[in-house]
Amino acid sequence: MSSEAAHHGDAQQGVAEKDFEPRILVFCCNWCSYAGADLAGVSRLQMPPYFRTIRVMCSARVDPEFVLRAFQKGADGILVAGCHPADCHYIGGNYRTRRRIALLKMLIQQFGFDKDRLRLEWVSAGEGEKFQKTIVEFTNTIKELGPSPIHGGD
Amino acid sequence: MIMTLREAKIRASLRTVEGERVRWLLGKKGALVTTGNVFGEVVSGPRYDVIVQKAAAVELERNLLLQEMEDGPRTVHELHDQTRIPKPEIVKHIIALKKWRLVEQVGMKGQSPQYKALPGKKEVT
Repeated sequence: MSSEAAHHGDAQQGVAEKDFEPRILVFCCNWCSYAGADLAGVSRLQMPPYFRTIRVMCSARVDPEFVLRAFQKGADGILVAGCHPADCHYIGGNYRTRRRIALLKMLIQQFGFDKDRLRLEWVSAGEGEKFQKTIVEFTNTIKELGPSPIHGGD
Repeated sequence: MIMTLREAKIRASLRTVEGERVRWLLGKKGALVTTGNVFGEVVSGPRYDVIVQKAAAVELERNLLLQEMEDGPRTVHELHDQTRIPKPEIVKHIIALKKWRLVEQVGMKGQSPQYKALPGKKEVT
């Protein structure tokens, strides 16, 4: 490939990367993470607009099936946000979530998804900034990984 | 073909996470790591993680094979072609599935026995 062609290819890839609008699903627990997301919003912290939030009463409410179905339907990345360990409103819900996410990371690799497409993060009600940083980082990670394998990506 | 296999693996994963074995293991971590099982055997945290990952990997393969055998009788060679699981592993899985009465031998294709999935507990009314 000539340097011009290589440059053209890079430019095309750049355009494709720029055009790629990841579909990210964020599960937030009602007591901590959703309040953290709300705080990020009212604090007017800038976040990429590619994520959709689903509020659940506890991060343990996120059944592994929800995650697998979302990937099956074409989600590019899924973020599960819950209370910090030992802060769970339901005592031990987030410990269960941690076990499930570890298992799901293994399972999604079995059908060709990168394990980084699924992320678990602890965000408390006062951590609006952390929520914003997590969203920005996760969106960048997904943009680097490209579209979901369901849509022909890697 | 690749797309079909991926879809099949996603469906098998869904069955795996809904399955008794994986759900039981996920729910029992506290007891297994602190007080131990019914024999008083305590499992360390890292060991527990290995057990869960291994159980899930085995269940995933078995569910993948079961899905194929639900569509009709299959030989080990056909199962290998469709799922890419090594043949010795398929034989081990079929022995386990036969033990649990989830598959049965229904005939022969050439010199290879054909296996078919039996209705699971959920489908029995």
